[in-house]
Amino acid sequence: MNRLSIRISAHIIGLIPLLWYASTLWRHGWPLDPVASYIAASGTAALQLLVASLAVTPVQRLSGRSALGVMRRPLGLYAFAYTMAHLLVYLMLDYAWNWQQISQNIFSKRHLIAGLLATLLFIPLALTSTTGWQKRLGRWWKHLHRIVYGAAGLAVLHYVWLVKSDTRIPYLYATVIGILLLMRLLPLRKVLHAQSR
Amino acid sequence: MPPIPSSEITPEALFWNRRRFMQTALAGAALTIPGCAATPSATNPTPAPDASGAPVVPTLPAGQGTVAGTSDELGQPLTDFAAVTGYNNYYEFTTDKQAVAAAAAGFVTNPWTVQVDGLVAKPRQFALEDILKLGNEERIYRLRCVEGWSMVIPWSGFSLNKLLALVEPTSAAKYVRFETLNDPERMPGQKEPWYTWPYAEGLRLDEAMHDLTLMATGVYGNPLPPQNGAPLRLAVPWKYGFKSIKSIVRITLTDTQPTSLWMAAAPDEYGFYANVNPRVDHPRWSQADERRIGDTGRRQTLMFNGYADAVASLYTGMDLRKFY
Ligand code: HEM
Repeated sequence: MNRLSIRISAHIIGLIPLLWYASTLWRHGWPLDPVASYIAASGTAALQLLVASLAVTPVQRLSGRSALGVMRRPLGLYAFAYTMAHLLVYLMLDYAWNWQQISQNIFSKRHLIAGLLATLLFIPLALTSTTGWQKRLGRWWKHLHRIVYGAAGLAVLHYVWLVKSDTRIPYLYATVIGILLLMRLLPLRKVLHAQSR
Repeated sequence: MPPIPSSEITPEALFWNRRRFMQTALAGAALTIPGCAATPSATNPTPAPDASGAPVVPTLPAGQGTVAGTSDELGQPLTDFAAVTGYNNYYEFTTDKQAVAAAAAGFVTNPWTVQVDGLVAKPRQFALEDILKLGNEERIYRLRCVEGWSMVIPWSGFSLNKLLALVEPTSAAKYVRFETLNDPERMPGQKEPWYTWPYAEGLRLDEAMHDLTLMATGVYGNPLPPQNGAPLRLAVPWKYGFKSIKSIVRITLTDTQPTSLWMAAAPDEYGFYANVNPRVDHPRWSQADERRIGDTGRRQTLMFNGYADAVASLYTGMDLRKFY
């Protein structure tokens, strides 16, 4: 695969949740509680794309295809876009910009505080995602962007805390993110090389 | 609830109790019992005007019978038939609210019996036909789900106290326990291990005897469809929706406080009373406000879901933060 087709694949992956949602509307009709439906769909999409972006480096290393690295930025930005859509639905459709109700709601619920913190951590990452900022920050850029693991952890916490009792899916996300983090921490390439020798 | 001396436990005492509940309920304003319209024409609430000032006449979709009212006593319009019968919390079928109707389609409720037993003088097994004879009045109630959304629903049925009067609770009876059908083959959600099935709920006897406590057998002018709890369910409008147990097969009068499914699942989240109370939050959902299904934005949640005039006296002297 050349770089262009890898880039295009990243956009296709990023748009899958949107297309999937459109097909759900097509098949099942308009949701009866649209606000809850938009919030669930956008939140799920944000988390899935976040996981996808975190998976790029480990997949790149395991497969030995360094060209895959160009997927990291678009996938991360899709995750950010879905997060913003999620927040926008909450602020605009659920709470109709009633700031008094919004602050009362967010600060009284631990899962919403976790979601808010995750969102706040995403903002500097999205803003500094450009090549210009990457150059300007030099080696600090890498350090800064490790924040993404903190943001992912908070996003999963947000999810774990908000489900009623069936925590299987949130814990599945937590496990996958944990494994991806471990793969970054362990000098995986060396281990693999040692084995293949 | 005040103890009733044994000597008074006669049908008259029961009658007197009912009178008292009637009075409590009727105190304040007749408005507080919206659905007590035995003759719909007499107390039919005026339709809520829409933005242009013209009364809104809801269109009746297929499958919907006639309903007398178009709004609750606060003038809030009925939630669409499609949402009332298509957006349901009924974990016995599926946890996906919008998939319940399809998952529950074909749920057979005939024959159906309801066992009423425990601390009663005349325990009895009722056939559904006999229960249906107890009345069919329309009541428009707000339903406030603990998850922070709400609807306005035209139920039909009768006050639960009519049924309880037939079995004559003894003086020892202090609580009423309700149980949903337990049949994992017909209710596949009951195969999920997360909860202790069957669904159970409870009320204090005076709550159960309150005239507002409705045994609903119909909605929108038709018999209850499966997704709404066919063939009979509670509608306790001043409590969170989960108290209004569906597809009831057993009602037991007890002297100990029943443990509901939700109390067993998460004791720190769900108490026995579960009265709608904007000042006492659930750990996950703010109870200060609610989204009426179909609306954008949220409205303030009312104490006892707007039925305070009728029911607040049941809880005088109680710390509602402790008894949540
Ligand atoms: C200020 C920031 C945020 C707010 C106010 C917020 C708010 C919400 C709300 C109100 C819900 C629905 C809760 C319920 O059904 O009770 C929700 C669900 C969810 N949110 Fe967020 N959220 C925020 C940030 C995030 C972020 C950063 C992510 C992930 C990257 C995320 C992922 C999710 C997921 C996966 C769900 C569950 C969807 C489902 O129901 O299946 N949220 N969020």
